[in-house]
Amino acid sequence: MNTAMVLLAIGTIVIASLYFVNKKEDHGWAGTMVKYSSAAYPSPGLGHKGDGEKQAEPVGLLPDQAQPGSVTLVSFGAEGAVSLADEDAAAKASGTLFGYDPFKIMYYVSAVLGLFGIIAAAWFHGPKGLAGLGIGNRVEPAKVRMDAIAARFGPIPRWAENKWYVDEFYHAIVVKPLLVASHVFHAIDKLVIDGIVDLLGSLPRFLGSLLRPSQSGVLHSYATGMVAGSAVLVALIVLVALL
Amino acid sequence: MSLLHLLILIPLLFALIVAFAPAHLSRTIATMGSLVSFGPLLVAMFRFDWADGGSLQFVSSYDWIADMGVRLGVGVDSVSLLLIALTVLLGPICVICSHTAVTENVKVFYGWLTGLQAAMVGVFAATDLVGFYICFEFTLLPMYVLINLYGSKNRKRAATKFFLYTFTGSIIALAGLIYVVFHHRSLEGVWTFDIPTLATTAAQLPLQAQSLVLLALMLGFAVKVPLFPVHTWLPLAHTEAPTAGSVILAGVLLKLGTYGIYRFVLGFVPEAVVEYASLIAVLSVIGIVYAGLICWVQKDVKKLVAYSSVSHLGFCVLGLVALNSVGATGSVLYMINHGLSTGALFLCIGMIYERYHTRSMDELGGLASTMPIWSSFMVFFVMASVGLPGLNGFVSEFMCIIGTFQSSPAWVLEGRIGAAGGSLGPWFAFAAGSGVIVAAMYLLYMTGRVVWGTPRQPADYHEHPELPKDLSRREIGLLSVLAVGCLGLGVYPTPLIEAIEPSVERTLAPYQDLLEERARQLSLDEGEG
Repeated sequence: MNTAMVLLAIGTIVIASLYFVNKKEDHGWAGTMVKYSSAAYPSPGLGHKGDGEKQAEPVGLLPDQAQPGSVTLVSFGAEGAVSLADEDAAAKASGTLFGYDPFKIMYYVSAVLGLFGIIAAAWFHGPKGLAGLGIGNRVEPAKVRMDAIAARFGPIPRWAENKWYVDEFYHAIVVKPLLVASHVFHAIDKLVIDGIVDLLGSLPRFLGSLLRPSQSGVLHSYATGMVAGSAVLVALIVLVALL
Repeated sequence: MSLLHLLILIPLLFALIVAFAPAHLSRTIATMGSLVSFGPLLVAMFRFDWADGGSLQFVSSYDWIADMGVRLGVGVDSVSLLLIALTVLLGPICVICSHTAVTENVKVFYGWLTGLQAAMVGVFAATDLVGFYICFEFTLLPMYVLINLYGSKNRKRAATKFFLYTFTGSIIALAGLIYVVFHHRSLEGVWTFDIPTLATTAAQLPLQAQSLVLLALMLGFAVKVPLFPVHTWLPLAHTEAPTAGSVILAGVLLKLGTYGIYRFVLGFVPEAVVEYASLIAVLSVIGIVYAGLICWVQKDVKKLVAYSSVSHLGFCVLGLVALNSVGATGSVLYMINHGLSTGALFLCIGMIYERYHTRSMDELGGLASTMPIWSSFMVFFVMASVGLPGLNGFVSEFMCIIGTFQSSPAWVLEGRIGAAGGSLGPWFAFAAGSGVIVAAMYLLYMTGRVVWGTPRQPADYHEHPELPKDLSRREIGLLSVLAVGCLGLGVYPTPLIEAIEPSVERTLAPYQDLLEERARQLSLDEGEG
């Protein structure tokens, strides 16, 4: 028995009963909670694309001008906010699902599915006795009705037992690419960007090493340089004079 | 003689005393010197008119080179004063945290560290371009010495790279600033280096010239901040610096860059900023995400926090170029908050390094079992850095992102509430927001391995006689001061925000019309096109 779930269920029922137990007009505290919650209204929020009509307009709750302190459902259309006080306008604005209010459908469908799930779980996996709702047959931990027929469902039981591989999926789709990106960025930072900076940093030294031989202190090379330089100058002067 | 002159001169004086006093006294003298500064600071903070925070107060100047209009001027508005407060707070923390870490060449260390404090206060207090620039450059010298002499393995390379890189940037910024001075001279016929005066004339530059000045200034300050492509000096410098060096580097010196952007880029060349804000924002956003992802694969804890500084200061600059009140206020708040939380992170890492002489995540792990007090502080400051609501990082990060989100020209034209025109918008905010997730990724991963995880110790670990296994009372005291700051600013940032707002309003005043003009221009283009 899952204690936490049982406590939650009991707690929900207790709090819900506060609504019905309170005989006042507005059902007291619980009634206020219901009144101001979105559950009291049909399909608040963005509506569905209506049955072939133009796309439904967004709906929401605004303070009610007529009754201060309460809210009213309005639809934000092209002409401004239109109040949807009655069910027909609300249904038209928010759309219907097979002709019924989508929110009511949601209540019933989810309740039915939930009950079905509970009964199926009890039948397939439940222990003998009260915890299995009287229909389970598990006595030893590893022998349930499901085991006999699990093989017929192919890979689905394996998926279910491994949390649908959601963690592995996220790891492959999000974590791994980001890690790869991080390593790539790190490499870019170290090699490319820092490489450029270091290149620029070693430029002065490199240029210096190119120019250093001219300051060798070997007088012959100085003399050679002077002769070569004056020869070039004379050649230039002669050329310019000729032209 | 104003209180600000005192705040600059006191550390300078104590630095000189350290230089001439015997070595065994340097520690005490430096501690005293950095603590004495609290006196004038508290007086200044009490007498400051916070309601009028946008205007310069405690103004005082001395003539220096009268013919060129160069004066030793000081004056603070609320942003400057708050950053000075941060400096004066972190100064003694750096000195005190090095009490056991530095045992040789103590005079040099403490002398330069105290002198550094004077230079940093000088940067924030200066109203004169020459004074600003001198102090700006003067901060490089002590850092060079500190990293070179007292750093780790790769220190010489780190010190040289740090010095040359930031120096090159600031030289280019100086070129831009001198251009502004020349322009003022040609306009008004008189030389002046006074920052408020120059701000009024610089705004009259044509857009072409303003763009060039913007480029020059941004190159200088972007290197200091650091912004994305010019950030590579930071991991090296931070990793190799001694603990005190890292703390003051991350805590205050990076803010010199953002303060420069706030005061000079936003103040001098509004048209160009409006024009290029999205470009700067793109660089910031790239910095946020790129540096954040690099943090994730780091093995060296200090390098991880260093890259995280790049990431966080991307938020800071993003808030500044959002060009609205929320963003800029968030950005200035971020400067202060980042100084506290990242400074504290470096302190924590430094304490580990003193004991284990390693910063590698391969060799350190599960330290919570042997150092529970340290672990508590580490987790606390990691949470502050991540941006956990309730601690200081969240407020400033949130404001920067909101400012970015609202800074969209389309919104201004649609007249949505709170929009304040600009060149950014929801996409930038989305990208910046993903940076918050990345921050959580790498910081929590690091914490998980170092603080929890399998207990690991380096192979050559030996206990130090003078250092207790967990934190000593001195270290607990230092971290508590910063922790109180982080928690207080996280839970109740309102006084700070209200203090910053007047200055921000005044700085952003010329942008209102420019942004509306630009928004209208964009809608006209779209209408025609």
